[in-house]
Amino acid sequence: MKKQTSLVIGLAAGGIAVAAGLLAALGHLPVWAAELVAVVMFPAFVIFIALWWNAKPGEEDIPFIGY
Amino acid sequence: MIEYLLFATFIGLLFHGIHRKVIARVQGRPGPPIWQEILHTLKFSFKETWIPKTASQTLFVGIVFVAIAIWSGALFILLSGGSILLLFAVYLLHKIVEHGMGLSTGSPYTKFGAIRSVISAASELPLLVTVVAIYFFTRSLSIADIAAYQEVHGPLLILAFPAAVAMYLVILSKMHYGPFSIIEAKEIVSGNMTEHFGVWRAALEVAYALKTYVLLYAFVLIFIGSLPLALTLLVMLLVLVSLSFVCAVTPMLSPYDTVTIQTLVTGALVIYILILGVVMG
Amino acid sequence: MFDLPTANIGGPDLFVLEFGDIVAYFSPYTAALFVFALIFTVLVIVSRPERQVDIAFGGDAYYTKVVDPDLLRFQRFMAIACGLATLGAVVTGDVFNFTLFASMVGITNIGIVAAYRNRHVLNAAFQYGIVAMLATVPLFGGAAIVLAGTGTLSMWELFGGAMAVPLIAKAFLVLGVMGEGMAPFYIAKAEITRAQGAPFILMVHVSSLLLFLRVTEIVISM
Repeated sequence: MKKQTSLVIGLAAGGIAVAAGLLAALGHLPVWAAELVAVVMFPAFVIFIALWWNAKPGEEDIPFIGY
Repeated sequence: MIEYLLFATFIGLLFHGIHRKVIARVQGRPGPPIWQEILHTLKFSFKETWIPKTASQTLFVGIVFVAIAIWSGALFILLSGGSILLLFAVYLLHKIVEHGMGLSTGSPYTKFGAIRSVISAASELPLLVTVVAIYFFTRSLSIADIAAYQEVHGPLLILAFPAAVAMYLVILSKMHYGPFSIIEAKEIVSGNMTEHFGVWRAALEVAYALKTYVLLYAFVLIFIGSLPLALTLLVMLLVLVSLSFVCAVTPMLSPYDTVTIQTLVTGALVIYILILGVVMG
Repeated sequence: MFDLPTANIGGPDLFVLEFGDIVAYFSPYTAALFVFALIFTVLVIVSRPERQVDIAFGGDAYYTKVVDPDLLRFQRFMAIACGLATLGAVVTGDVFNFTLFASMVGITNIGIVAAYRNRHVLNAAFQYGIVAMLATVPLFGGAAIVLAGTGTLSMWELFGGAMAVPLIAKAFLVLGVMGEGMAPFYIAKAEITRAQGAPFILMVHVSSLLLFLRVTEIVISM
């Protein structure tokens, strides 16, 4: 996976979770559904953002699988 | 929604730091600053990350996602006043996460951690009897109903004291550096977490922070009742400090002794429930 | 017909799936268990086993075990079967079907490790098998007493509160499921964990924990 991909996935996951929270607050989405979205998206958000900021700027794959 | 999770993660990590600080002070050491665990998590997230070549790659990564997801779910169960049976389910799934983490790497140390985690499965039984004992009083397992019951009848901490002790033991058996934390004992390096480093470890720290927050919050909700947020956090802190004292003065038990103690507590609680059944019909 | 009592601890039923007189249903609780089982079954399907690293005793040398493709296929098949049995057990609406799925989980659990050629693992699997087999006696006995005592095995009837299920039947059901791998009877599973194939071995634990969660709900509701 490339550094850019990781950032996009992480931000998308965070964005979806925030959007679901807002929709629930405005009453367009049941609260349990927003919670479910947050539960699914939060791990992706945490892990992909961390993978993005620890990746080197080069072209190599992250997480590096090797040796 | 996600703001609750971030808040709980932050407070949970802070609790871990306070836990370490209290243990250090009880043992006469200066100890790390209380925000150490937050720095720790950030540090891990900046470290080089890869997947060991011997590992079952999908499981190695997937289990980290599951670890965060189940405790996020547990937090929402608590917040929405859901069933404590579901909370019990999450607790059991955490056991699966521990197995999966240890088994997925192929390393002998993590495998030992996973096997010890199988042995320490006895820690689930006190939680189960706690659930049953609470059901005896409230006739419902929804957290909202339990809170309502306590508003009328007073806290279950007094009414069902043995159940509270069992739940306390359950939380104690999941604390770091505690007498029951045999799965991460230092003689097997870091136990089942040994091969999860870098980002994976940072994510696991997030999951554990959520876990500590959820378990302490559940204890307060179930045995004391719903309080204002600041007061809840204060009571959680008090429970945590008492746990830290226990962790500071008890050595780590041998794996079989942990099973013995947890089984004895379960046995005592089963007797308590039988007495309750006779007395309350 | 299929309306659970509203005070049911698993929550109201959301969706009922009828296969003739065999009925599966989803309440918030069973749906959550179903999702848990599904996640781990999918993990079994998509992941490859790890390669165990062994340390040669008394030296610095270590070696990695190879993955035997035949063993892998058989373990994966058994683990998926175990996952399907677990999925069935957590959503079924019939006590007898539940016990049937529970005993099938016991059989597939042995199957997952049976092809692994290691004396300790096979010994442990043998012991686990004996305990699981013995446990089927109280398991089916519990279901039989429920039927004899109330005249029905349908959970909608039993959860209604009008039926008095004998305490011994509940105790037998719990004992039977505990024998399939819960705390006091699980000790053989520690050695089973030596076997290669982490995603498949994990299914051994997932299935027994989810069965236990389900039987807890059934017993408290009855």
